[in-house]
Amino acid sequence: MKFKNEFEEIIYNIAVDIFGNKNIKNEHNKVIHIENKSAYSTVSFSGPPKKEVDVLSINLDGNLNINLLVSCKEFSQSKAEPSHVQEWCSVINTMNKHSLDSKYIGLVISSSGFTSGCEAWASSDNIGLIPPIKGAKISFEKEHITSMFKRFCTALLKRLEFPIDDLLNEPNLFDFCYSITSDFEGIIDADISSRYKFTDLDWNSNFSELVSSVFDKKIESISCNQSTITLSLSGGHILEYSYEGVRFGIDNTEFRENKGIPECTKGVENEIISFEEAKSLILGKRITSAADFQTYIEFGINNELNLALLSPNRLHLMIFDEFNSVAP
Amino acid sequence: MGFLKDSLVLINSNGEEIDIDILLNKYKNDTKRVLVNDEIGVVLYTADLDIFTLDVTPNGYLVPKKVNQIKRTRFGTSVIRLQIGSKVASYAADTIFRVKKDDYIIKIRADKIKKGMILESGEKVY
Repeated sequence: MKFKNEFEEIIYNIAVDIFGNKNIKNEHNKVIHIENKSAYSTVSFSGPPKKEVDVLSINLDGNLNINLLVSCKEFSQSKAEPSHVQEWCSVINTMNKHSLDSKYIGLVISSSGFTSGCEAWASSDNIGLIPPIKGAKISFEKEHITSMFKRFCTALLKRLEFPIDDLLNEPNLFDFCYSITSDFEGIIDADISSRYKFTDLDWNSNFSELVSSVFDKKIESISCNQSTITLSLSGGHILEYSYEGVRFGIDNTEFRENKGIPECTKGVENEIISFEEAKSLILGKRITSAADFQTYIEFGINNELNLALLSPNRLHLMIFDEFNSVAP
Repeated sequence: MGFLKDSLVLINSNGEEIDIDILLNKYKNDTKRVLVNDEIGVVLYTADLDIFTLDVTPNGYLVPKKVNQIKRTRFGTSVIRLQIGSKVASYAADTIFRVKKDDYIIKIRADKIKKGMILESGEKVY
């Protein structure tokens, strides 16, 4: 298989992963013909309509005979322009108009995005655009664009399990593609980092999602080992703090070796207390606030005390009543 | 079409309100119906479930509209308060409005909408 550029190869490989190798063709300078070549309206001196294109062709479903034709654009300096979308609209329209039993849907994917004029053409002819045009200056990285394509293909494959005639009418495929890909804007703005990991699939996350996950959850147990201190929270959630960062979310660890005893202190004088005393002060109480100081993480508990996780084997409690009684 | 949770009231065909969290939780393991579930969020196909959203018309009537797809994102865009007609509501920054301009209609994001604009429905932005 030959590819014009690396981007096209990435897109092809994603399509193969999702739809399977036998349903996909990647062809350059391919001349595509209409299926019904004998209609009076298609007769010309050079024969019926044909078009030379670079196309990634995906047969979505053998029975329905739906074909997704993907035009993959990579420009180093500029965005894809309306003429690129118009060309693809024309190809899809003509293929459908003179089709015998196949249905064609189209998608244009551009590694550098699209100029704003492309949207109206794509929408009116029901062509999906990746990345989506969002009415604001947003630069999607190539990595995001390939992820969008993967997401679109995954959703489209599942969508085939349900009636899809509506998707064939404009602008429903365009809208479907937009609805699946438009939310990447949120993740770009979210300032996610590898410091925060959401447990489900080890997704990178951010402090805001951490707070949403732990807020108002009851602390059911606390344990530690050499590398991690773990809070088990109500609702099957956990929070794990280690030197690598913070993991939180639904507890999907089957077995946890937590036999360590952390060093526990309290108050401004760093008074040493037993682990049992520390547990008696925090277990069964709810997390009411959180702060990440990067070198350690701290939680407000029941508006009564702060629990600071200083390291995987050290925690510190600041009890408000005691603090107020010694404060000048 | 997909919707954002913050602008969505869902009802069933009997007019009873549906909690979107309960709905998403009910179908979270339905591998066929969950179109995608990844680090961007979850998209659920609902066209065959008789789920409707309620749109408020300029004269205050509630009109049910069928919901084909529900999505929840992990990280939404910022939220903006807008008064449109007599209704004040919160919208995600990338919510799209259809606005009259000269003799045609254009799309405008919520964060770019300006006072005095007239929506396709005839409602004015205050």
